[in-house]
Amino acid sequence: MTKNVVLLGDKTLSLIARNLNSQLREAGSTWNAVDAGYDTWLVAPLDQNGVLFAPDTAAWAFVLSPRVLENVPDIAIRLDATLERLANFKTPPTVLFSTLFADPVAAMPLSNNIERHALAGKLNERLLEFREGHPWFHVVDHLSLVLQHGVGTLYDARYEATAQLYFSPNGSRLLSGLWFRVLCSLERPQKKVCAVDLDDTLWGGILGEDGPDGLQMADSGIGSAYRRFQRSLLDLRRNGILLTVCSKNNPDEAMAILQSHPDCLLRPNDFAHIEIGWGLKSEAIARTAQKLGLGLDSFVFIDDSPVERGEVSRALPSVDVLDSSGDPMRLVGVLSQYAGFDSLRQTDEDRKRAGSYLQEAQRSEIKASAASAEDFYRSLGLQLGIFSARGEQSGRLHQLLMKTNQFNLTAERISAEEFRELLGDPHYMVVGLRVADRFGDNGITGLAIVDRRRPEVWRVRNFLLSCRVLGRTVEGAFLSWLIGRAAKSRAETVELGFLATERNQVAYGFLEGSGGKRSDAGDIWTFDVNRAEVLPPHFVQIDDDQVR
Amino acid sequence: MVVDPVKFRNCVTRALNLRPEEYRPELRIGDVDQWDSVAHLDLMSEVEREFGVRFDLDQMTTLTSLPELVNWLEKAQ
Repeated sequence: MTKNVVLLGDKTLSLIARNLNSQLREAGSTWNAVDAGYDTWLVAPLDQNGVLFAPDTAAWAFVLSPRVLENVPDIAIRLDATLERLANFKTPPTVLFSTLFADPVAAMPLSNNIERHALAGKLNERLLEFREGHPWFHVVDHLSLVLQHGVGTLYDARYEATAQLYFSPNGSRLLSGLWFRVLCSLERPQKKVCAVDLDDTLWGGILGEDGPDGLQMADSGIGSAYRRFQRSLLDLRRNGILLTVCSKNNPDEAMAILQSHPDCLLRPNDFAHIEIGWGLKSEAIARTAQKLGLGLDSFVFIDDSPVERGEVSRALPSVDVLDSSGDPMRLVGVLSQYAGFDSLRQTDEDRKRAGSYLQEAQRSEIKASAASAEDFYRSLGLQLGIFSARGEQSGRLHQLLMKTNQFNLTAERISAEEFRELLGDPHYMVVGLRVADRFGDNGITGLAIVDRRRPEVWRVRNFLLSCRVLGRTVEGAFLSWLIGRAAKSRAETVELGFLATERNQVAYGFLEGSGGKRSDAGDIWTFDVNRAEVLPPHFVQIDDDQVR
Repeated sequence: MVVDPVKFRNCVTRALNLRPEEYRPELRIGDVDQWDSVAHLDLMSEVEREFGVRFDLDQMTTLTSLPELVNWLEKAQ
């Protein structure tokens, strides 16, 4: 059922109406824009037989230009009279009223404009006051659009001369984009929850690799971009949007950052729910939805990783997914361009909501079964390149050895010199791992150092993977490759050394599920090459031509 | 300037929201519903942007057919 929104103004609005309608039709909206005619904003509300009072008119949109500040004498009185008339309706329609701004091109700009800006300010204040008392009356922010693009972009004197258009075709297009968002916000339910990733989204850097001191969210430098993003998330929260965390990290480490990193503006209390772990993010978000008692269709998820975004999109199609990769300076822009949180007003109830979340009966079904997880991994098109380490990769591999803390079975640190010696020692096999998938190449992100002095037992001294590539079956694929290689070399068992540290619980978790046999002391996990408990995922392509 | 006919056709079709089969090189304002006086302004704006030219007030209101428009563009710098 179509609802008409009638555009009223002091200038020609037909271009805006036309642009607006083409966007509305494309989006399948039930709104339809109707042009009330040139310069009708003062008289149309008085005409009971006119289009404003027609039965399928659901909203009035006042789209005023700066010329009203110049051409209408007693504009303040006229505005008040219009508002009073609206207030007296028994059943008022939805009214959308644009804010006013002064045209900066005038004679004596140093003095004239300041007075006109002040007048516009006074009138806008009047609009906001009226809005407070009347829930069907909304204010539409023209001023922000103008500040963003400039009158130079929105206005062209030739069009005013030819057709009494204040907004040029270009300006009309931009303005109708704003009004499109306004009308959609009246029609679509607002998204209620913003679930955010941590690494390279809330802050610059990866906690597992860069450590707490390596994270960027300070007031200067690149960190300031992340800080501004955090501030804008706080804006969301202030306006009643719930914030949640959805991150792959060691829970203790990440919570410590949220709790006490001096540069972090968001504290654990700012989040309605926090999910930090190593499982699928879609499952974490599903748990969040259940915990909050909200449908998945009220969720927005922000992450820099295309793999994570893809996984969540696939498993939970009703969640809107936003991309936080790219220039951190543009992060706030990502939020502002997204229309899901759009709302023309906040109520006190909205503002309080973030503090105590709703317990609604609504729940959604999620297909986060093992089958669809496997579908997802398969869809990645994983390619592993395993190669014997040589002198020229020594630098990168040694760095990996020193920096990797989480998926590192022994956390043994070896000096660069000793490492180079290992590369040349025929009793040791040192292999590096390169990981790529259809989203991109992660580069050299894995390392294994195997002691082969006893030919029947391969003693894996170090086995580690960068946290960037965890959770995609790469761990299992790398290990199964190693075991298969041992079998080909006629070894009988593969032993993985393990030393528990504060940070490598995720590695322990992997070993527990791997089918290997744990020694009593817990320092060795043994795999029988003939029993092949660790199955290579058949959808991972492994290229090991470069292994000697 | 040399006016690339494909570029011109695409520009006009896009600006006026024409179906491909509605385009004719001799089209003028009023020949199709989409080209009314309001849409004409959109067209002028698009042509300016695509071809890097600028019409004065007079040209804006008198170049109301495609042949005249092409002719003007060819003579422009």
